Amino acid sequence: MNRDWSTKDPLDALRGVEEFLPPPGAEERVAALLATGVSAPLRGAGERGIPAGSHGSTLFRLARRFAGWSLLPLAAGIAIGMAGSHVLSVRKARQSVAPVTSAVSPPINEKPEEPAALAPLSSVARTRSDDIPDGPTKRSSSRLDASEELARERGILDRARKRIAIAEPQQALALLNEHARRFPQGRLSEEREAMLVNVLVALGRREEARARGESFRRHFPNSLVRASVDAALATIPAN
Amino acid sequence: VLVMPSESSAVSELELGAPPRPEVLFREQFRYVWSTLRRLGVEERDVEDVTHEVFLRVYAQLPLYDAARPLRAWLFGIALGAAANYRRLARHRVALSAEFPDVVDPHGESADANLERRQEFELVHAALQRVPLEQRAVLVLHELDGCAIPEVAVSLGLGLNTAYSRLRLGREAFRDAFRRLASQKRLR
Repeated sequence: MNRDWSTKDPLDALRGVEEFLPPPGAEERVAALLATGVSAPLRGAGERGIPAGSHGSTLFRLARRFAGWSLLPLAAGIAIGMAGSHVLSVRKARQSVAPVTSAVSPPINEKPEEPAALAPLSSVARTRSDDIPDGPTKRSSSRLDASEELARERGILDRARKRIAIAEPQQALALLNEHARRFPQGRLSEEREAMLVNVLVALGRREEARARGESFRRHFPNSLVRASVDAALATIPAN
Repeated sequence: VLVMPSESSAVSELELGAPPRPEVLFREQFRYVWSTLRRLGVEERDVEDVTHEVFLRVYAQLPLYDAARPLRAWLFGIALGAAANYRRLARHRVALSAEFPDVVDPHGESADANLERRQEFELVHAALQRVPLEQRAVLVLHELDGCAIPEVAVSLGLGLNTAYSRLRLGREAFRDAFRRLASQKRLR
């Protein structure tokens, strides 16, 4: 059948056209990628031998690599929350979180039972970002300032995620430390701490990861990203 | 441990003057972003990656979102930027076929209504891909998303006259392409 389309007003056809529908599983895959926070350079599907199609995409491969010890197995479960936790998450931490240091500096958990000075739970209120009356620093009083501050925080964490995704946990750790130094009371502290546990596991710093993870669980028992922490800790063999 | 959002939708949150929560926004707008990117020329093989990029940008810009503006128009602007970047990469420039894709009906049921709908779908989108991107953006946002031209102008950073002009040119280009492709199809 070849219909005579010439009799139809093209604009009527345009206005009545249906949406493109994503294939089954696409939404879950994108959610999983958002959970990893990997920002992908666009690549043609045929490049580097990657077959066309969703499962063959560059990002999917990166996410799978990351998933070996991190988030992807939990994809649908935590994806959306991880990506958006900055809005749902902490008001702010009243006390600093000690930066996790590299091999040169003292390890984070000289006292593993008290791995870091995480904000006391009582001071952490889940709220919307626009409810925050002041930003991470006292000078940020306007919403715009708070937004810019948040964007800067997110930028650092996004860079850390990229490093995680390409299996460079040491560089990721440096970025997480940078975040902790610049935003000790940052609104993304919870997200940072979750990533930190994953990074420590990846670096084989198991005791520190355990201690930090336990601290995270205590202080953020209902965290949207707790699943990623649990998953990372679960990969550590029992002694 | 996925904490599902409350009953409130992105729209109702907007009505309250608050930025939508990311997980609500993602759930409710994923399909829209996907479809918009396809309409803006992102190939099927790449649309998943580009959709991901769009939501990363959306999350990053969410604190700056003005809840007084239509959500979809704002999303469209971000999607358009991503689609434009995508198209700037030469490797994504796919020569458009002289003909729109043939529809294979495995059962030979040529009179089937579904087949006809699919043919029209493909014809419309093949014609849409032949409209220059800057005109297509206005066309899609206005004709398909129902956005008034003044809002289109704001969302795309255009002057009002430019927006109207692009709409007019886009309509003409779309009509021409649609009729040309329809004619080819009829002659085959």
